[in-house]
Amino acid sequence: MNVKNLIEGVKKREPDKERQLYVLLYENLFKVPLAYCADKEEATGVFNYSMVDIFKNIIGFEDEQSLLKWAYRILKNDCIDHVRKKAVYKKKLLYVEADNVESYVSNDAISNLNMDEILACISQLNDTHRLCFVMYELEGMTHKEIADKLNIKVNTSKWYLAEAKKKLREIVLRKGIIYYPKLKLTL
Amino acid sequence: MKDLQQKYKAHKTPFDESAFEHFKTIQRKRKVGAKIHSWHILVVVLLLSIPAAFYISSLIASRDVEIQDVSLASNQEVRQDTELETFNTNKTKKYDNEIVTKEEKPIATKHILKEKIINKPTLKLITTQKEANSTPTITEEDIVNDTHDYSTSTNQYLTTQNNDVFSDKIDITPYQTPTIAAQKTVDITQAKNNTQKTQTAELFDTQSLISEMPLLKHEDVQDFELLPILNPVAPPTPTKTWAHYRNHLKLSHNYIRFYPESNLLGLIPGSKTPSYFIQGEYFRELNKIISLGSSVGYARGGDPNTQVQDSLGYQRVTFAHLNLYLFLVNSKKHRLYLKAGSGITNAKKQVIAMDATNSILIFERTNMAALMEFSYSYHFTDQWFMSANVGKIWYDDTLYLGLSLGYAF
Repeated sequence: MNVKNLIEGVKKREPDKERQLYVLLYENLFKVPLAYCADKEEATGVFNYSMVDIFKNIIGFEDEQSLLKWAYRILKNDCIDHVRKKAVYKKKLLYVEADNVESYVSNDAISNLNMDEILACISQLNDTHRLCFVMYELEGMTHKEIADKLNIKVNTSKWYLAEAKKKLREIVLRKGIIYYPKLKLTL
Repeated sequence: MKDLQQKYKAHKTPFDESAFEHFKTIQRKRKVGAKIHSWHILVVVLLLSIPAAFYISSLIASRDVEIQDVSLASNQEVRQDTELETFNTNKTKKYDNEIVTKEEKPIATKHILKEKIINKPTLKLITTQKEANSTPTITEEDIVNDTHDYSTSTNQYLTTQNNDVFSDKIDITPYQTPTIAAQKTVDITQAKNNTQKTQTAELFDTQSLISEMPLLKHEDVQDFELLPILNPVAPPTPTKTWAHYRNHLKLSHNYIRFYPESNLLGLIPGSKTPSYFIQGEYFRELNKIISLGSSVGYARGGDPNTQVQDSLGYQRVTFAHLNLYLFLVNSKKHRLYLKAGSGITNAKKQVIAMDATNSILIFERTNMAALMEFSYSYHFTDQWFMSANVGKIWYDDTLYLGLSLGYAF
């Protein structure tokens, strides 16, 4: 696939080229909002809003990898901002300041699952737990980077990760994997 | 961990057509949104131009009134010079034995009325021709012998000799026409009553100075009845007084949209919900452009997913702000201003835990927040006014729209 021609077509607003580029980005990058967001619907929203910005500001990339890296970076930042914005209200309650935390929890429980199952399990975590888990385990960021990004302490990040892993293990052990649930408030 | 990252990097999501349709929908909305945005600017400019036009017209009107006042005060001098010039011209014509066809005017009466137009007590110097045991007349001889320099005296004019400057009867000189004679019975008693003080001082044998200080009012319409006949200067229109008050109280009721909905676990994205917002404020004008004030506000919204909104699912915001008002228009009836406020804001949110316990969770925070409001006020009396407000509170990116009732004092 000639990415350069694709981008030229997008700039000229050719529907076919727009669709081809969207499919390329969707197949490679939709996993990012899927990991960060609570359900597929929310992930689609975040992804598409990022895509609008990407399509608007796209420049002439020579190859597919550089385009994907650039789009991935934008998408990841949008996802983190989105989840942080949602989580900011309960920050006072949920951002527990932890000093001495044992961060190691085995990944055995989820290592045998495929990626779709893992993403479904992750979606059942709450925002802050999911955020730390995805950033550390999937994105490969360090606790220092996470702490800087979320404006929390390093130990707090470790505590969230540990809590996320515990909850994930419980979810997997219960085998209560629900794909993209839509919950309703109940009294 | 490495396995997990590799799995994640290698993972590809199968394409979903509905996602692409959603993307196209967002793209179209963005385009329409941009068009609507430009329309909004046009509408705002249009709305701003209406009060601006009112403001400019009121400025012009008030300036005209000032000019009219000044011109009325100075008009006496100008007109007096013109009349005297005409008078001297007539005098010359008479001595050249030419036929006088120009209608003469009763100068004394005109000046009395002219003074009545100017509603100011002024001190006048009146030069009179004095002849012993004679009726107050202006004769040819008087005119010929009149050597007074009118060009330099600004407030002097010829009048009939009398202890009282006002006379019930006006004697007709040879230059006066029957039209003027018909007016000699005009009742000017009202004018006489308005004269507070008259003093006479003799300068020479044939001249005396009469100083008068009239207390002139034009409340009575009768005062101006003679004006169309005797004087082309229109009476000043009595203007309605409109007091200007610096202190203002204002109570607003606004429609607001914010996020009272629970998204505790992040599984339900928050949605904006119609709510109400009450604001009371006080401000004092420092000058025509800037005011300072303070306000208190209360907003409350219910969670649409919760049946018992009063006790379970709700959000309320209270604040106390200090405000700075920047007036774009500040006339008697119309005010247009931008308000920027900041202060302590307390937000409380009560939601239900989305787990097996269904327990109630209360989140509360107090911090500094800001508010910006654009408001148009119309004074239907000098003290009472109504306003239309549109503003934004920097809390949940919340816009509001509302009406206010205000009182100035």
